[in-house]
Amino acid sequence: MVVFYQIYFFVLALSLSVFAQIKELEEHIKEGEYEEIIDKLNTKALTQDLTNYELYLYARAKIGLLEFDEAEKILKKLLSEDPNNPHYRSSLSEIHLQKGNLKKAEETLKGVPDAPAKLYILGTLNLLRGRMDFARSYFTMLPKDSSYYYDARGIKESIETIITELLIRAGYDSNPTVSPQSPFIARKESPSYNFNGSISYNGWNTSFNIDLNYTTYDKVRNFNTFTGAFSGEYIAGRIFVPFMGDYVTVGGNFYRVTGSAGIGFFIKDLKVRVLAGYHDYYKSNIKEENRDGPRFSAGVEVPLNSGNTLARIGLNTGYEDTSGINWKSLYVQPYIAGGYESGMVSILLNGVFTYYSFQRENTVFGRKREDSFIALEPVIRLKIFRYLFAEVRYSFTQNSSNIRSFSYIRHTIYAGIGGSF
Amino acid sequence: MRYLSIYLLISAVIFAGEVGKVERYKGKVDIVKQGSLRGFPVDTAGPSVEVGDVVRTKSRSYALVTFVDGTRVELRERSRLKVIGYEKSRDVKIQKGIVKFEVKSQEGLKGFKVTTPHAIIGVKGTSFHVYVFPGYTKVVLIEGRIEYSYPLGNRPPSTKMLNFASTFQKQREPFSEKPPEEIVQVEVIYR
Repeated sequence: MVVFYQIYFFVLALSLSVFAQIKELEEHIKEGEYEEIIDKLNTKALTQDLTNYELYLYARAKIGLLEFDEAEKILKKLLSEDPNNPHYRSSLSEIHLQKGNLKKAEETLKGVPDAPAKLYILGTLNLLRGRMDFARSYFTMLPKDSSYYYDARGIKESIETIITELLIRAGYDSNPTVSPQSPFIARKESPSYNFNGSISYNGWNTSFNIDLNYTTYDKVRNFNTFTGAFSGEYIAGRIFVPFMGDYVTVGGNFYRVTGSAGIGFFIKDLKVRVLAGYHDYYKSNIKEENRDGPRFSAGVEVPLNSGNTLARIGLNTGYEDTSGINWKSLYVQPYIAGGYESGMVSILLNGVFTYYSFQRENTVFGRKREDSFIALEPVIRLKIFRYLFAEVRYSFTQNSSNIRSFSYIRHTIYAGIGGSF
Repeated sequence: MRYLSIYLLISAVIFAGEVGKVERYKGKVDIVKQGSLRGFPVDTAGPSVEVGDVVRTKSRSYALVTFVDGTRVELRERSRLKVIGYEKSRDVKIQKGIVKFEVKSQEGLKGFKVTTPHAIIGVKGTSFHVYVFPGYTKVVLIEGRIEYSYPLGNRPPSTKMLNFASTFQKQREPFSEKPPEEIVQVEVIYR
């Protein structure tokens, strides 16, 4: 009996000692003390074989010391014995990431269950590809006690910014009044001046953008336009909460306010969202009850980034209801938005097509209205000096309606100078 | 005077081996000497930094390293900085972490070079942060001029482009204008 207890306590002490050694090695990894791990495991290897877990920790230390080839050799050997081990595969993926082979890093992670290493690597891959929102989705899933959480917070700090932009533009607008007021106005085209200010914030969970625009026309009165728009999203793992709204006033006697919020999901490379909100119209400070009502929309978006080019294509669809009958509409809206940056020059492009189908007969024209709306807006920016840049912006909009009075074409071109702080 | 300062700098390197020292620190900071496989805590082994050394900061720690030319390097927690060379050229490597540099320009010495696993940064008298994490290096300039390259190609997009990417899709619609089915009061201007 005594011998049994002696063996029992010996085995227990041995297990505890092994456990303590492993814990110590893991603590070294966390603190970046890779040299100590190599030292201890080299010493141990002189007298006994290292376990696979110890070999894995040895490879982790080599990765920390940036000795990737040796680490890769060990991990490949371990993977030949246990091909689906998530630790080995995540570490091998990290080596590919460190070596700049993003595709291989992603492929190596296929089938690996979500764990801090995988979430970090996928977050970083997305960030390097310019998919900031997808990166946030992975980073915000990291457990706070993981060392990868600290790394992700460091990355976040490097990109967390509040960017303020101020722009003054002068240009020409071929048709600021659009239809159907235009037949009643003698002078349609006009030189115009635009003042723009925006604030953008990119944080850990939250990003938002506030954009204020005021446009004044030299030859056409009563159409000076102010727009204030905000949009953003709160990201928590694979779920996000999008929100947006705008305020528009034209000529001082027409106002519109909209606001909507919803929920969205990151599904593989897709971003899917649904929103519900409300719009409210005023004219000459009298509330236009007929055009108030709820609005609903759903959208899907895919990022298409490559190198210095960031682009997205998407599809929105929605329904806007009103208490009046002329404005109930369904719409489908494919869009593309992209940007290219190289040194001093940035090129941006927004393009959208919207098909609107009004649900009731128009009370003035006696039939259902159907519109196809196109907007294209290329922008070229040239960095002048430090915070200053010059900009040329062209926009083309066209609304083609089966009720001719609602059809119009509009060209605007602006050249401006701005500062980004 | 200029030659004297270079002479003193080179003498310091040759005779003492010390190219810098940990001037200030908080928490646990140690130095791994060249060829060694363990860190020597600054509080017991001393603050001297030589070529080949790795300065390491642990969790909730901080270190300020001042080099013989007056260059100041601040290491935030869990950072690792290796001094590759500090004789004819000044060359350091950030293995990991967040490091802030205030580089003093020195006539007679080549520029200051910072390498990371992903980028090479050339510096002339300037102040900047470098963020280094697995697969990721970002340089944030505070003052002066730097040149950098990403030999592996995985340069992160600029903050402005990332910002643009998250905000560039603005929903355009024709109905934000005045209500089209109403004839609004307009002032007709003849000029």
